[in-house]
Amino acid sequence: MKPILVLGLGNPLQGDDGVGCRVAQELERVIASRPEQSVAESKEAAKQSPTRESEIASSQPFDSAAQNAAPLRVLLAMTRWQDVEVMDGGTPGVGLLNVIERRARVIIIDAAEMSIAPGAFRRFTPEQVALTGSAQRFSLHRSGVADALALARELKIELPEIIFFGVQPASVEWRDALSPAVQGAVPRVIEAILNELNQRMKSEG
Amino acid sequence: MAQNMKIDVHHVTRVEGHGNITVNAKNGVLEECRLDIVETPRFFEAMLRGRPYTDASHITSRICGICAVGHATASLRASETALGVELSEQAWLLRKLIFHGEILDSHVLHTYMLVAPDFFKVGSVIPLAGIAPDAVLRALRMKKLAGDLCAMVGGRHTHPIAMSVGGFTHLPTVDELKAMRARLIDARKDMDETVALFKTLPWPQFTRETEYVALSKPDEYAFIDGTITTTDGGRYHLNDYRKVTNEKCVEHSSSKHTAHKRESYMVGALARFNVNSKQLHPKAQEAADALGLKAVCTNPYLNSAAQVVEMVHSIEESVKICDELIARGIKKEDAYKFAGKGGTGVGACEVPRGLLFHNYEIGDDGKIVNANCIIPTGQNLANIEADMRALVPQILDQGQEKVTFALEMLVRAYDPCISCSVHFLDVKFV
Repeated sequence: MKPILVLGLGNPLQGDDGVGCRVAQELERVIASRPEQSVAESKEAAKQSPTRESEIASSQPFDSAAQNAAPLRVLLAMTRWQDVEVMDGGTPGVGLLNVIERRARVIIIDAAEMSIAPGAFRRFTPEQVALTGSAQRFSLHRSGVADALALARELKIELPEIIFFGVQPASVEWRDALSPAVQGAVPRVIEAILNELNQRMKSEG
Repeated sequence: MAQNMKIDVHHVTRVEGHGNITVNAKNGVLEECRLDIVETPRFFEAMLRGRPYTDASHITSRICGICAVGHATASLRASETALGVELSEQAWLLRKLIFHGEILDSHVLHTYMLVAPDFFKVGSVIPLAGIAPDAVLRALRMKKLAGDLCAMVGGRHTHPIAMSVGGFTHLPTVDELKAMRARLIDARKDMDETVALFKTLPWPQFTRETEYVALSKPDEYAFIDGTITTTDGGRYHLNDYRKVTNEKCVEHSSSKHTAHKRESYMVGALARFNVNSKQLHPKAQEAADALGLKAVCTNPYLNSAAQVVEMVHSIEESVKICDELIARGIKKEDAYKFAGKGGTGVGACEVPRGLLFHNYEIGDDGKIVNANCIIPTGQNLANIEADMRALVPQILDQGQEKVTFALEMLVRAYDPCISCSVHFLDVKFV
């Protein structure tokens, strides 16, 4: 199991709620297509990210080369991918705990209501914010990250270091595409994640 | 970064849909008693129309993280029936194995985390974890086992990626199956303790004559395919599913209601138990005896007990299927190739909360022309209301708080599909 997990959460059938999945799918794609990789890695990446699935929400394909060629390529080359797994986790509910356990660090990308402009995103840790859970109204089927983390705290389950990238949605109506504002944020979120990974790897040697 | 920022990470998914119970009684007479829940994603047909049939199971598995395998299975069976695709024995075994994984996963969640808090008089599983940590940790262990079983067969956690029309694009190894088998055997202890816990719970006593509807098969406790069978004696081919569901619009609800011979019917674990209990694994039958469950049981609160019984069944059946696959060895199989001829097909399976139908028309270009989906929660709505109308007059003198609690518990017992329907129960006395 790789120590670092980049985990996109949400429902791609509910508009911008799927932004986490979209970021994970696009990140898998840019990692798979980076020039430095070995053939074996490329095969592995292709297996984990079949095109068919990642096309589900493809209204406007994200073209990394056109938007951010140099920095992205540099960032991709710097990251130690042997330590990083990228996962489109969908809506695991409490199953989140199974997915993140025994990792050293988990970067979660999810839609977050933060009362800021649609498509704007913020980095935060669980300690920095009051995650509004619903302790009294815990509803499992789509219980969110907050509920899963609250349950882990209550049970004193050891959690990895968690870093969130929350993206403000414009609309979460049933629709299998992102809004233009949130779609536009996807490459910027990916760049922020790559920066995050590289800074930490640099500081940790 | 601000020291304190108010963020609701899943705010967005938690507010969609609404579930309202409305009870209106005047001078002891019940005037209004209803439940409003949003039904199947209403854009189901629109999101599939024009898409290649190969996308359908991946798209529909995203409707819900709990029923992902169930939606994928119903979707694949609809396409396979439409295209005349036969599954190999190995593919059938794997389809059944992952299905048992999801039944176990979902039932653990529902019984331990949604139902058990009612009996411990706490608002949710989070305070329950404070007073009964062993039970909640046991639930998480069982859930992990179920999730890992689904990931082993489905190729990843939560939303299966390896299930495809005609079989699987990724196969577990014999070593993985052996390791999983050992974990399933170990899980028997947790399962025994689960039965022991649930048999101590004081289930509310309430019964109402009800028609129960489930798939049945001559040779097994049916989860995938079969004949639609009812406790009133109805038997229908899957193609005739509309003769059972008879969807109709009702004035007070945005959802359609379904009814067969009576005003309503029930689907789910209790319906399956009532129709097929003789085909349960012997250990599951023992659990049913221990829990005091006997077909035909007409207490809807015992749907959760029937789920515990099915958990035993799914663990034991999973062991058997692992044994069979290990003995056979895993063989790589050719993928299905589309022959340029479309068709129409119904896929049906017994997902954790009941009977699910997908019905597709696929064109000769391999694209979906029409799609229909009927979810279990939609089929149970009319029956929940009928239960409420029967229950409320019996308990009206107990006061608002107790009536509210009894109704919330009743709705929870049906394990309504929250993803496609409801998060919050707001009880209003008007």
